[in-house]
Amino acid sequence: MSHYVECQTEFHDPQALVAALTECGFDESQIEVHQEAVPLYGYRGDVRPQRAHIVIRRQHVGPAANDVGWQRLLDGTYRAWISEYDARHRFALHMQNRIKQEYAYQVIRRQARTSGRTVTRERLPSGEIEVTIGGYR
Amino acid sequence: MLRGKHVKIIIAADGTCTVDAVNFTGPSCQTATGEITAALGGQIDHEHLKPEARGGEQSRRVSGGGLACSFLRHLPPQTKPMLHPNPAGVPTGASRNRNKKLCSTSLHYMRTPP
Repeated sequence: MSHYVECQTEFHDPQALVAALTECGFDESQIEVHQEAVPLYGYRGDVRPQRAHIVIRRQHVGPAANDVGWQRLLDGTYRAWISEYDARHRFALHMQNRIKQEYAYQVIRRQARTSGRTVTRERLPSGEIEVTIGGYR
Repeated sequence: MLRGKHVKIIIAADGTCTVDAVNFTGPSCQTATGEITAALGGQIDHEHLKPEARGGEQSRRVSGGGLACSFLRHLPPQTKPMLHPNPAGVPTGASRNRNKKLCSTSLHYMRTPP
């Protein structure tokens, strides 16, 4: 018997988000994690009104890029701040989706291992990630 | 390939996940998928109950508890499940095909001017 759920992913685990960003090519040293939200800066060094708890500074994003950040909201989820410029370049939809995909894997893996289960991962030719969790009694 | 109870998750390129509990018996399948959807923070758009889940729901109706109910409690507050059980409770082929839960969570990317 099989039973399945289809769902999308919402960022609410900062450690998993950082892990996802490192899987997407950023070094952990390039990712700032703050308890309190800090300002984001534009490509000219100008302070933006947006603030974020998880930040990748513009020099790590690319030429003429702005800071990219994720702000923790009152409900515990994270909202991404991505400039229109960066959404057309390094943080295009493909990258945004890949972050979501890697984040989903990270939270699944953490949840499964916390429960003492085994986790295997395989990237399929379609671009999907297949995760198998075993160890159920 | 695992032969016993296991959960298989396909994470699509857009971050959408399909969570499939395989070889479970009874409403424990809902617990297994519920653990994953809770971790993902997924909002359920559709819920398609399998025969075991209907059994759980039936027991919930009788006892006021049950695993189908506890699964829903695992979901975040913004979750708005829409249940589509087989009203007659008959495990027909068509109803088996509907024994799936669909959920989605909106992810808002706020963009700023360059």
